[in-house]
Amino acid sequence: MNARPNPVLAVRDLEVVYPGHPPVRALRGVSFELFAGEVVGLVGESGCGKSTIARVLTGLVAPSGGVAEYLGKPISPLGVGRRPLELTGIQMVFQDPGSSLNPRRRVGAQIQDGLDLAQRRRRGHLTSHGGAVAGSGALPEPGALPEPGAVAGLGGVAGSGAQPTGIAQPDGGPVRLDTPEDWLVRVGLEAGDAKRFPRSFSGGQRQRIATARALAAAPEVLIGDEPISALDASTQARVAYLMSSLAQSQNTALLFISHDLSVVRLIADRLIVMWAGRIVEAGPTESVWSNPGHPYTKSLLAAIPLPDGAGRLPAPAGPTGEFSAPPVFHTS
Amino acid sequence: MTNPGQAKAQAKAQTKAQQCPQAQAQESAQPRAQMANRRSLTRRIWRLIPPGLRQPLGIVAALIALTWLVICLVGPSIAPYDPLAQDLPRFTPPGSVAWLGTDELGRDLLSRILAGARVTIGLSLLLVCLSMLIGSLLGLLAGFFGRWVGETIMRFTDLVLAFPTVILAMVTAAALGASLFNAVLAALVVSWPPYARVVRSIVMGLRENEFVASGRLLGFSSVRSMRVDILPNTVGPVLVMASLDIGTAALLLSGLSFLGLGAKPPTPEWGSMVSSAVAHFDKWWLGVFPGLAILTVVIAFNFIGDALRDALDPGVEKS
Repeated sequence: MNARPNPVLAVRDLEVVYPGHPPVRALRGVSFELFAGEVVGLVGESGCGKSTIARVLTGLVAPSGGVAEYLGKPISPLGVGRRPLELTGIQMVFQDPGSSLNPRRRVGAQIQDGLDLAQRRRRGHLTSHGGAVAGSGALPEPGALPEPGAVAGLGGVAGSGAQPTGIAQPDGGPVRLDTPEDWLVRVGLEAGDAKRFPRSFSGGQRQRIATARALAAAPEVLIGDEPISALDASTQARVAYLMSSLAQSQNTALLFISHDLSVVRLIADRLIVMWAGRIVEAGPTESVWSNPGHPYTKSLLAAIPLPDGAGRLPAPAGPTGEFSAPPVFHTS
Repeated sequence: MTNPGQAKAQAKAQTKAQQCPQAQAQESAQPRAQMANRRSLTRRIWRLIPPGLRQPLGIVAALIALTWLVICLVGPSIAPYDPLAQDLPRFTPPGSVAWLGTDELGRDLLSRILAGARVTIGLSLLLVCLSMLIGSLLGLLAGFFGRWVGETIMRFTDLVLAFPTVILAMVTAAALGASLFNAVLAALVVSWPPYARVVRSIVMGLRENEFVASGRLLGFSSVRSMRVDILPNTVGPVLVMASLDIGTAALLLSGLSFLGLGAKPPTPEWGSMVSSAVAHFDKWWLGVFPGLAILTVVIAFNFIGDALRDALDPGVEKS
């Protein structure tokens, strides 16, 4: 743990206040780090500041206090001009599959935008990895992922849908990722789909395409801002697996934001739990999952419905007053 | 008589007929074959049209508009009389001498309508295109950049909108001097603001879309973002608006002509023809035929606008 290199992303005492009457304090001093190639799950209820973090990290929102750094340099807010090339190493998959793709452009052209950016980044020596060609066997074998049975036991996620499909290369050779068609195949669609418009894809397929576009840019950091919250339960797990395995195969760090702990748990190395603009608990996934220390995390875990067929309602959350307890940080 | 296309069409007609036995009972074999023949021809023509544009109303409208555009080109040469000659008896009702009648000076109405197409349609199209371009560009900049750029543009737009349209156009035309081209410029001054407002509001809505943010994150410059992500998504509503606007433009131009600020009296121009018909209300043909000409043009472009929107917008269900 201590031998880790410098973080790709570091956030210190981040504060964001949205103007208004009264002003909304979306983030009240948030600090965390993200290291190369790891998958971090950021969970919490709606309005707890998860998406605000994503927006600060991509420059869509300017922080009111604290710093957000990418590779040691502060992230500047996105202005009228073009985004600085060195910051394009942070890419994002958005929440709404309905508007994450331009309805008037063929999906191939949209993925090509990501590939073009990767080329510009390579020319500027801004990528730490090849990007265009991922090594063979970089994708984890299905067996390396949690057993479908474990999935089935959680949050109503159908076990049959948990296997990543269509991304393993049968011949085991290096995967060429030079064209939009390559990427479509990589995310489990067909090469011929490049000529189609977004309207002919389902929500889950659109999120796959958005993932392909973001990862084609060969970023150091991929942020998923609730990318699965608009999908149905079995598709959720598939898209989440796809994002994490693809990101890991090219050593891209993934910050996966969701309110659904049961899915995030399956892919994340670490968990960060947020409540009311603060981090209330953070640590390795298994440790947080099996031994939650903060009252809010406990209530979050208790809120996961049990698939025992009894139709029981989730346990009612305790009084929110106790959530303001000091944060719990697990050490590994 | 036995080409494969016909056989196929006959087979199709038979299947159709089998589906509705009543029709089969009423039709004898002979007319049915003829009908199938005719249907196969229309079908073949229909297949020549790209699938996205196969909309009956739009095609009829396009044919009408095309006819008028051809008339714009060849109108004066196919006119039965000189549109300016005052040789015929005054107020001849529509008949064999003058198909659409003559006006108060004994000029042939049909000839004047054919000759006037060039003036009215040409200038209306020019006016609408120019105001669409200027208004859309300003609206795009205002909506995309917001803040002081947007505020400046929109306050200027409000300023122009605050003046009564016709009065402002009159003042501009009077200041520029009476000529048809100056009338277009004057009309342009008052025609662009609605486009700016509409485009700005569309752009402001589009800007919130996640695909626009994705584009910016992928390093799109403002220009590329506008060109690739924003502008194509404004085309539909703006085209429909422009097609509706052609009628207004024709009326505004003829209004200026009526006031002596556009087309000078002998020039055949539909708006001025309608205007001068007002003085002779009992001679119905004076106003009806130029009015019908304006109506067909307006409706044709309106349907074309609708069809274009459907064809251009992949998200809209074809109707």
